[in-house]
Amino acid sequence: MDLTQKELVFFKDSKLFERKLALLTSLQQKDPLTQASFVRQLDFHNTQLKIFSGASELNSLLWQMSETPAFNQQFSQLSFDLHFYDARQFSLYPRDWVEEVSDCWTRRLDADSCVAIHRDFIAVLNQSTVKILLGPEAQDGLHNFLRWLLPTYLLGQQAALIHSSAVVLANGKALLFLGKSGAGKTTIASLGRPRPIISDDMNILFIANHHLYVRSACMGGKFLDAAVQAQDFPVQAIFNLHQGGKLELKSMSPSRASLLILSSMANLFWNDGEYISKAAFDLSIDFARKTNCLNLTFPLSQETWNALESQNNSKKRPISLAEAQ
Amino acid sequence: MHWSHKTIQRNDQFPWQKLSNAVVILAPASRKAHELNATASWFWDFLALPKTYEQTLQAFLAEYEVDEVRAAEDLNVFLDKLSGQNLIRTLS
Repeated sequence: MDLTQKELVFFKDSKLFERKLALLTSLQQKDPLTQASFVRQLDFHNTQLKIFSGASELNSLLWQMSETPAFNQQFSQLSFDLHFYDARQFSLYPRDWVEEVSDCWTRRLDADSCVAIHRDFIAVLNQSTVKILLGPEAQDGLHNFLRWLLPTYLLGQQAALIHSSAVVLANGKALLFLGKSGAGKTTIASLGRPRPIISDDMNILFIANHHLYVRSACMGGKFLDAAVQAQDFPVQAIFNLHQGGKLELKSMSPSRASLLILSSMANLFWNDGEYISKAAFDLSIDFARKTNCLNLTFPLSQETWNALESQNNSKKRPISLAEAQ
Repeated sequence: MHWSHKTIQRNDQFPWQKLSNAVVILAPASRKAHELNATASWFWDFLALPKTYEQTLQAFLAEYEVDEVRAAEDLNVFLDKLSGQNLIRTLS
């Protein structure tokens, strides 16, 4: 596969990337695994995944995936056959990528096929069949693969994978926290305990019955084991996080909120094409229309959650810090 | 750019939507999304059909409390910005 100069520069360890590229070619030529290696079938966010494993060492990892109910019955379920191959059988070991600092690389070959080389997995998608090279020790690799595979298809079902944390309030509604890496998504979820954490890393947002809902994406995060899975929560508010010494809540215009949501959609790339970009844009507008968005600067104290809880009943109008106290 | 004798129209090739009083525009080719404030959004609506610079300036003066010199300055800066992002096109 010919790479552009820009793509070559993208990978800091060019030798490793060339190896991975050769493995990608091998993977493309590899036959799908047979029925004998079938592990399980599960419903996962409106997709039906049929999982095949090329090595018994991968099986326990693949059994860790949680079954989730459909979030929108009006869409027919998509199905994928996922064929997992053990990276070690391709002489690719964890030590090979532990120092890899390059970001992810994805190339759409045509409407139905796509290839990807990420730090901890390599994947070849052809229609509904996906071949994945993964190390059995790479739990993150499995989650990263799902984050790569599903966003485009979720978008087709009016849902989006959002890089975010989400916490359930006493009233049963959820607060969603957005922000750049390091902004405090995990920190604020952790501060909010023992309130249930939906996820501190990846959540799925969708509209049902004219309301905005959130559910755990079940794709990684520090609190994955403790996360509230397979349950949908109405979203009370969305916050753009900034860590700071003084608590401050400021309202955000719906237009700014839509751009924030758009920028928080995980693994949707500009180069996925204009259709994808427009669908993501339209969905971010719909989401922004359905909820209240605020900027939140927060200190590492319980004061933050006291303020967030106290604005439970003021959905239409954000409170000022003075009012919160 | 000197705008005084130009006919201007917004570039409708980009997906855009209005939220409250603000317009947001997606420009996939340049990998950007733009947010227009209320005044800029008013211009966006006004430029749905081709308008001369004079028509645009007079409409601006009729809509907003601003003196003509300041209005012309602001309008020129604004049109330069929109043009720089390829969000408007000139027809003559």
